[in-house]
Amino acid sequence: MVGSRTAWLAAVLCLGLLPACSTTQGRFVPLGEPRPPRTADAHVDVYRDALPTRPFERVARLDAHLEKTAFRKSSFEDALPELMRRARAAGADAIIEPKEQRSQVGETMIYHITATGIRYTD
Amino acid sequence: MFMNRRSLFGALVMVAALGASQAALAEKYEGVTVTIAATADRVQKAAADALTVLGVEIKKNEPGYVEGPRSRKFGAFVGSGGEVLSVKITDKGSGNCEVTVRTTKTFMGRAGQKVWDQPMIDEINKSLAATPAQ
Repeated sequence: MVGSRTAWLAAVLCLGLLPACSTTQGRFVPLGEPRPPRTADAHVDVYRDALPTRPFERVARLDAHLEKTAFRKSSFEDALPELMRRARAAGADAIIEPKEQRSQVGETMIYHITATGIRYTD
Repeated sequence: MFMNRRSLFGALVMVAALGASQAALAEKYEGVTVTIAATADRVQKAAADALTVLGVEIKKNEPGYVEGPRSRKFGAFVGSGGEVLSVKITDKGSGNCEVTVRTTKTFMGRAGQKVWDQPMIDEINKSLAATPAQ
């Protein structure tokens, strides 16, 4: 009984600490004249490998940085919400040219993605 | 028992001395300086890009100086983060800059911290290569 209570306590403690075991950061840097931000629910297209067929202009450099401890890895999908948030803030319609970087410090797995925010011009 | 206390005291003194010597070394450490063939404003932007890629939340970004801490994380073993990374840029004229990068480790979570000097230089060079001079 005591054992199971201790296990529950440990599980609750671990769950409570999990957010502190990972961090997500991001930023955008306008490339030229800053654009007005888009609404928080605005749709953002994501082009992982190809470029859009519509004409566009590059409006911002976008960065998303994720770190997780306990050897847990992050993926492109994990970083996408932060990247899209930054794209909307930069006034971008879409994200192109994502470049991923992975590294590790001890038990911390680091994932960084740099992309370009674009605006359609048609 | 008396000997045990003496040994414990001795161990504590050694740990304190080791900590003090590390702190003294950190004070004397001035980072790594390199010369980069780019203008100061280009290097300034590249430095901000580099620190972002390394997970730094930039707190100071003024002409000639960029600085910020890496976010701190608790881990199953030692965690990581908390180091303060800085880049000092001095314009040397003729399109050259002297760049000094420095990692300052903090007392809390020191075991999970690392020196980011070389990665900072690498990322600055990468950013400069990606944004050619106009």
